[in-house]
Amino acid sequence: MDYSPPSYPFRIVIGVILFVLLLAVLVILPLWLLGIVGQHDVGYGVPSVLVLYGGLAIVVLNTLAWVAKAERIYGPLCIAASLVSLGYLLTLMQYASIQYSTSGGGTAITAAVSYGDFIKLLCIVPAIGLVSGLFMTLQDLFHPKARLPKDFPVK
Amino acid sequence: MVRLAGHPEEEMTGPSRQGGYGQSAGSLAFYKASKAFGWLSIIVSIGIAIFLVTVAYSASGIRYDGVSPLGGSSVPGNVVDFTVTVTLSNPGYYSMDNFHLGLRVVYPQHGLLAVGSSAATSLSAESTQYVPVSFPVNMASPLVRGLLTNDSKLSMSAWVNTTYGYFFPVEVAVAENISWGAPFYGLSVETGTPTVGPNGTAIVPVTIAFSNHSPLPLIGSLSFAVLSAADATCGSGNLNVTALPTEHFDSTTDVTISGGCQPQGGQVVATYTSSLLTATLPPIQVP
Repeated sequence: MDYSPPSYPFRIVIGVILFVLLLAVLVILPLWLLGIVGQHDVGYGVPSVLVLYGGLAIVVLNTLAWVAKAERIYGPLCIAASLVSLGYLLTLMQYASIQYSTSGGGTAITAAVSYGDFIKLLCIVPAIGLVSGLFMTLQDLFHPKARLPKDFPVK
Repeated sequence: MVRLAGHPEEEMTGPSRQGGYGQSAGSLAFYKASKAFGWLSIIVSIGIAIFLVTVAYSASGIRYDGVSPLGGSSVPGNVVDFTVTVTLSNPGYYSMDNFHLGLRVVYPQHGLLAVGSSAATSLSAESTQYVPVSFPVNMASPLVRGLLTNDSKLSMSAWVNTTYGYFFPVEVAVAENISWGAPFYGLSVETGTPTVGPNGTAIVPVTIAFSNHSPLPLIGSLSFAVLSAADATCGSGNLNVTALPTEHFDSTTDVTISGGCQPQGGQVVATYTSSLLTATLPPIQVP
């Protein structure tokens, strides 16, 4: 069976685009939102450093996985990206609460929303990704390159 | 065609050309499983995103539609079980589970006045719900008796615990200083000029006056006893009371005073009775 993986330069270009997009979604947007809510007396407790480095690690691993899709390292990179995502979400769970307080005219209002359970729900996604990565690793381990015609069919 | 430019295993592509990798179902089983889980991951991600958007949209529609006028019913032991009904509109797609509303009223520098709560309930989606909150008040406590005749500032705190959209526990607390208007504000007694009654008694016109500063209409009766300075009962009377909120009440009735009993310097002890509550008012000094 023939296959035609994209060239490395092409993969790197697409990888850079993917990196920028993921960076915007997973790092820049959350940090921007945290900045906005912080200006409106909303307490969120999530350290910006966690969002920055956690998000960056996920972005880098996912980008590398995409670039290396034709390699044997693809499966392990998918596993690594999923594990880092899981770790990131589980760490985020410790801070999963938003508080808002306001007062005036003899009235004080405090509201708090916890989203720890929602993060548990979100953990399903990297958990499924982990299983997917495991199968991909096993595929490349026992049947090297057998998947390449499927992933990169000749056009 | 095989193009593996830069591929580290380029030299091992022979089996591909020779069909050595085999494209049997077994050789791609892990791949297919991996792809299936990959798609599942995407579908779950989209599902979660849609869920999150609908939760945010639904939550934005929740409205607090006010509190019903205070109601209540007497229970044994001078306790009145006051009830307010909170109206909440939940037009969204998700229910509010384990909804509980608590209430606490403190008379600053005096003490805790009342604690109340609603029963734990579930507010279904796309509905308007009425949540009754009851708080028993001991009308015989000195704290409450003082508030029957004196306006004051009270500290009220209310809190709501609920879970919205299955995954989001919410807590809202409101602390507020509220103005308490006394239902018998400025309660006073005046006695008029006595006239001679039968059997050595005297007929004394007794005027009781107050202003209803509370939001509750006072429709009931006021029974009272006139005591001498030595706490002997000189006589008693009864007045029908109708005082709507903000109204001033002023009514006079003749009281037969037993012979030799001097109400001047004594006091009047009154009890208000209505269908809503029975309250013993603070003693009023007779001038």
